[in-house]
Amino acid sequence: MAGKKGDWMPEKGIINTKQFVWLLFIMISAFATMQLPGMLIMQAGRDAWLSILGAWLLDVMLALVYAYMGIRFPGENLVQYSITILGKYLGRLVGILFPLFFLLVCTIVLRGSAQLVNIVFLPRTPLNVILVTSYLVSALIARKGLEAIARMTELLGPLYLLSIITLSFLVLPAFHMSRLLPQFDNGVTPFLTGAPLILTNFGVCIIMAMYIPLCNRPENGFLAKFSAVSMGALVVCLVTALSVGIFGIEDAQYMSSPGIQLAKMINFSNYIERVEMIWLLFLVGSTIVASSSLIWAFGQGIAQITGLKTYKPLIYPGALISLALGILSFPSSLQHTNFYHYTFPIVAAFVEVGLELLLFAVALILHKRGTA
Amino acid sequence: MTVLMMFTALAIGLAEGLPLKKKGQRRELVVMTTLLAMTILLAVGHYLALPSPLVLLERWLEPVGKAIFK
Repeated sequence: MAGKKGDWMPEKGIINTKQFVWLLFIMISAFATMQLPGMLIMQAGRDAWLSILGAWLLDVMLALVYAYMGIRFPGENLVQYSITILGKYLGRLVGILFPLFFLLVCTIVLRGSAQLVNIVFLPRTPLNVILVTSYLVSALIARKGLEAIARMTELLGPLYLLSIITLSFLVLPAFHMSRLLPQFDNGVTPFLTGAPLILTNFGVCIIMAMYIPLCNRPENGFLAKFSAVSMGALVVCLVTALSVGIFGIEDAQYMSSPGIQLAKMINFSNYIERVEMIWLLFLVGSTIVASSSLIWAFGQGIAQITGLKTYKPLIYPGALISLALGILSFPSSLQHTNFYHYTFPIVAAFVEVGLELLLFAVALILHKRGTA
Repeated sequence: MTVLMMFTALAIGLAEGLPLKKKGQRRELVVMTTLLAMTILLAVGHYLALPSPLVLLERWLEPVGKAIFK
């Protein structure tokens, strides 16, 4: 281990602020546009789009903490500053929870994406074949390092954003504003419980604390997160509001992917149809790149906890653990959806909000600062 | 599935482990082997009908989630 903390970084790649933004955007949108709008509509009804605005505000406030920690501990990611703040043993114990969380998110994202491909695209192909293929591609990308992942997001991110905006314009004629009204029909409880549900999904951007030390301008961490989460919130808000306004809450809440259903509606005099396949391509591409980023963060985190020189030998074993968890833990799609709806938000809130705020508070109380 | 997982873990172990052994990166080899052993444990546990870590997590936290979310 080198003298300065910042030198002890198994990843040598550097990303710029633009790549940082797209990395986070892909992470949010890949995760939040599959099953989440349906779950959110079930939770918050017509107030779902308002819950997204609430979650956006809370997430921006959390981003201030992540960005501040990145500047207070220059050259260190969240695993490293856990050790700096809490000491060698307790720090490692807390620090290892972050890479494990990234692996859990990867398991949920790729399983969800594989289920979607299985239902919409390849109904006759066994789910496990789609899962294995997705993991293989994700692991191959992750092994190339963060720079390669960042370059892919620079291409996929704008395309994905553009596809959602185009989709929104194309389905707009079927939109009925009256289906979104009245707001707060059942009081504020649906809005207040919907906001944390979506916040835990936006909060996956805790991964920004792994990117900050590798960004050429670490002081832009907040700006990157703010831009990414604003675009991500816009995307989820569009899909959610359009789904409610077009299908109504009664139908939209039971859809496995309202975004796909919206894309299926596009049909112009038999000239433009089956557009959902194009959208699905972007969605699957995004989930695979987001997963590769999560596997990379897992490898990087474990390599730092155990003091390795390189994270690369941990990529395939990490992907294999995630694959095993994805196949063995969820015998059916329903179990995956239940886990994602009821268990994941609790785990995510603990890691994304609880642990990070704990580190923040302890750093302030004990006057801990980075040394790099 | 158990056999397939074990076979894949073994294949990754050989493909990644041999170069690490040649380079003398013992620590990397140990961590990588531990991760692969965890996969094998998961697969064997599934074969013996033991719950996976995510199933255990679900058993503990799902009641909390159901109390908060619809």
